[in-house]
Amino acid sequence: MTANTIERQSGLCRVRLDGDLTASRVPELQALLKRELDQPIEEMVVDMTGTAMLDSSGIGLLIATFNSVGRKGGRFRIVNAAPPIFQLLQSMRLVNRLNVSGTSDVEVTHG
Amino acid sequence: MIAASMPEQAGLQRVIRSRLEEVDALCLDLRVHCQEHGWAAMSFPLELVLRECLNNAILHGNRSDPAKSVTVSMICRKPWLRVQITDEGDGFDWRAVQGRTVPDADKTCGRGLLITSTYARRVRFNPSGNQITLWFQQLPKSNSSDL
Repeated sequence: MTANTIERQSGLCRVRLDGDLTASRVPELQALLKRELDQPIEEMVVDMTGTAMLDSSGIGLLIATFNSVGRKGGRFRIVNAAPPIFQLLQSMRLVNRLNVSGTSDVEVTHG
Repeated sequence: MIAASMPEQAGLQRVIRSRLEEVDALCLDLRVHCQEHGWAAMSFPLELVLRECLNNAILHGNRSDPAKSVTVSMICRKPWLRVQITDEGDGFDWRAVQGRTVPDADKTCGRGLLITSTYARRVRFNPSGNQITLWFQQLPKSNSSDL
């Protein structure tokens, strides 16, 4: 059993994934994200530090979330994607779309 | 466990029920097995493709029918690994999806078979489409992270 966590600071939302984002785990995270998206949102950051595997169902959820955040006028990005996951998203031409940065990138936090 | 060992040539077979949680369990075994038997560098693509095919077999092939199962067989003959997945569904017209390109970035589905053909060295379906056979090639030692 995984325990994804969400930190909120006003309109900023950071989602820390605990474990893999695969078909069996999509419904749980989807429900969590839906609740977050009921509130106003300026930026959502999905932290994949704890994620070793991402499949097409997980990719689908990330795209759906990106679309929903965008419709609410917010920004979306993914940080700390492990190299194989970064390459997978690259091969699906989603790195720029989903604003993905890998584990080797330095994340600069403003404010 | 998947198998006690996988020498130069070895085979194994697993039958799982039509539940996604069974995919997780099988893939965890596979992850450990890859580490133990010289396939560590191929662990991610192997697991990824296995997940895509098993998810398809369970959700689309068997339509999550708990009475139906999925059979997975693996044969290792280094440097090749052959994986065959068979469901109990009616199959699908795989010819219609051959050559499919990357879907639009805002589409939330339609990437499973593309991922499979991207990461497996060779992919083949049986005529009815309820069985897929995949081939993976072990990376040369110089490119492998195995110790």
